[in-house]
Amino acid sequence: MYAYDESDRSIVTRRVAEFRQQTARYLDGRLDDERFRPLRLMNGLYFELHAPMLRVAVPYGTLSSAQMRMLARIARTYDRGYGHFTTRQNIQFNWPSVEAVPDILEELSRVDMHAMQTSGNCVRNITTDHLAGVAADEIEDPRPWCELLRQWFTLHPEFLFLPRKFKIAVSGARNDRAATRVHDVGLEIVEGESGERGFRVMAGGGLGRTPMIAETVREFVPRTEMPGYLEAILRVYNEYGRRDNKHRARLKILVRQIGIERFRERVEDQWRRLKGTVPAVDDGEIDALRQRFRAPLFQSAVDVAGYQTQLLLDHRFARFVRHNTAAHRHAGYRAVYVSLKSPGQTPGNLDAARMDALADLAETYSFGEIRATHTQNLLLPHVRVCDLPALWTRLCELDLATPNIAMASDMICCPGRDYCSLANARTIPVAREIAARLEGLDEVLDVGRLRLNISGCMNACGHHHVGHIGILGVEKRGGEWYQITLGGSPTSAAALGERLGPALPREAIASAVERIVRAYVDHRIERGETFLQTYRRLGPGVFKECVYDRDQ
Amino acid sequence: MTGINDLGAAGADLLNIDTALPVAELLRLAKADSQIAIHVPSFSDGRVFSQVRALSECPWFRGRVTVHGDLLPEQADLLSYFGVVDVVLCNGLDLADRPTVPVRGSYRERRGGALPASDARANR
Repeated sequence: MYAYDESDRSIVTRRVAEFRQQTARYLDGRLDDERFRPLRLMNGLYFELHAPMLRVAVPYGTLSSAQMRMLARIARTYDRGYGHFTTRQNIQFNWPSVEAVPDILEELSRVDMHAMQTSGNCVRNITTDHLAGVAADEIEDPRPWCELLRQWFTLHPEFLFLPRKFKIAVSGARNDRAATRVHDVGLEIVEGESGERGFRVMAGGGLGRTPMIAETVREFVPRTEMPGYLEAILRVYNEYGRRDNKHRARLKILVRQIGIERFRERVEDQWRRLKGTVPAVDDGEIDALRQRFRAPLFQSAVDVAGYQTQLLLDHRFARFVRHNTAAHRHAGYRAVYVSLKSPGQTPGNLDAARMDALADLAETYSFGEIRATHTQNLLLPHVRVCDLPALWTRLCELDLATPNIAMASDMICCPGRDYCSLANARTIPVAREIAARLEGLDEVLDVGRLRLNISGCMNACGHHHVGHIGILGVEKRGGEWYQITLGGSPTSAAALGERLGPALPREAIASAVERIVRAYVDHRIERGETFLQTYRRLGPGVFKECVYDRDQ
Repeated sequence: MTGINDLGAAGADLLNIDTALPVAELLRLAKADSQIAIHVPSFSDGRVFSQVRALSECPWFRGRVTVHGDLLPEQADLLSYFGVVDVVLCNGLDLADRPTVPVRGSYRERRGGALPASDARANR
């Protein structure tokens, strides 16, 4: 894991002091709401429906046990005893007081955490593959590059007042698990013709009201030039992005408006200007960063006998291993998902007691490291298989072992109208109803991998556009209605879901989802055909019939 | 042309512009010793930072830049990265309220290679 140096600590400490002064100016009336807004947002502080909300950064989703314990302390001391993990691999606290936020930030700084640029019209927390450094299909570990970009664009004086927020995701693997194509900029580590490493740079993706898949700006940018090339993109965006309408201000709108060819020309033109002034990254720097992400000292020979016996004897354990663990590049280890989606639970929520318990488990079983995934679960990245039975037992006790990772009940879900001032509809109770409806169905029907995403408004924080099944809450005639989209995907073959038909009332949505799942099972050619494959083969017809045919 | 106000009205070396003027156009219009006044219509308009950075990195530009308008005190600190020391807040806010603990920590500054020419311009 990356450990802060004195320079990092100094920045965070000064930032806390700065925000304490800014908050004081706001509270004593020297700063009005409008002008305090960008300052508080760039420190993660929102004014939400019921209370302020603080979004804390978890850079590229990596947490230490000590940091998780601090999050537990914040939840207990300043909030209502829990936190909410987000799709940007961050965590949100929904009930702090404005006056307490500088104190919270100060406490966070003691464990090298902060809330910088978790909101505001600036470069946001950079996300990546939660299996970085673990997955066998990785070309190169993306985390050192994420860290480089974090440093590069944190408090970058040119890019703190952009037209709108700017999201970057980096993938270093052959399979995109970072949803790079639905970000303002997506970076993929690729190999050039002679084997040298560089980046495919994509731009203009995003969800929200105008969902778009990113287009390639350049197939190959040499790695030493990548941060500077991003500056050229940001310069073009800063200059030409719309500022007259916040709903038309994201980079994707600019790319669509002028077309990818013209956008590329402008970027290349800026890059020619900037190239002489932006420092290139040298190999020594990136090697130094790589040293800070060195793999832990894995055991060379892990005894697998007990693990294999338990796999044979205990079908519940076997099911957990099948669904909630992932292959590790080091023999004898697996990455273990901690499901934050047990039935009845709010997706992504975790209470303070279980944060502490997970911190202990990470120390005991995973070198003190925890990852947040963009699907709102957690991950213990390096677990010996011989430890899996004991870890599983403990996770079961904590209700964190629901074997549903990447399955229908592993829903991405925004906070919805229960918490968010922008939302049109509630999402959390809908997610619970769907989970209850699907509970047991998967085991009986062997539904398999199915991504179900729910958003409470067009802003699409629940990523409904890229759910295999997407659900969007809308307001209609003063009531809460829900639109279904099918066929979305955030992977390398990214696609936006297609609207199935008219919105459904709240009471009809869970049964509609169940009917879609049953229709898929009825029509799949074989058990191995995924929902997405079936949908792409058949189109929406059979699913429309099962949802909108009242005789069914 | 968008972004230019009273070009030349106060003398050939004075360039009054606002944030709508693209950087390329600004560099075309600026002369080596131009006095450039940039009006910022709203604190949320970050285009001024690209403008002043481009000027600070322009090898032949030796002129002076003034930024005025609806700015936050914190933004004066950001502008100083690019050598701009003449900042006028036209919105009732007080420059004295800028934080006493300015946060500087960009990657460039961390690696010791500051933003080109900024220190030199600040000292002019």
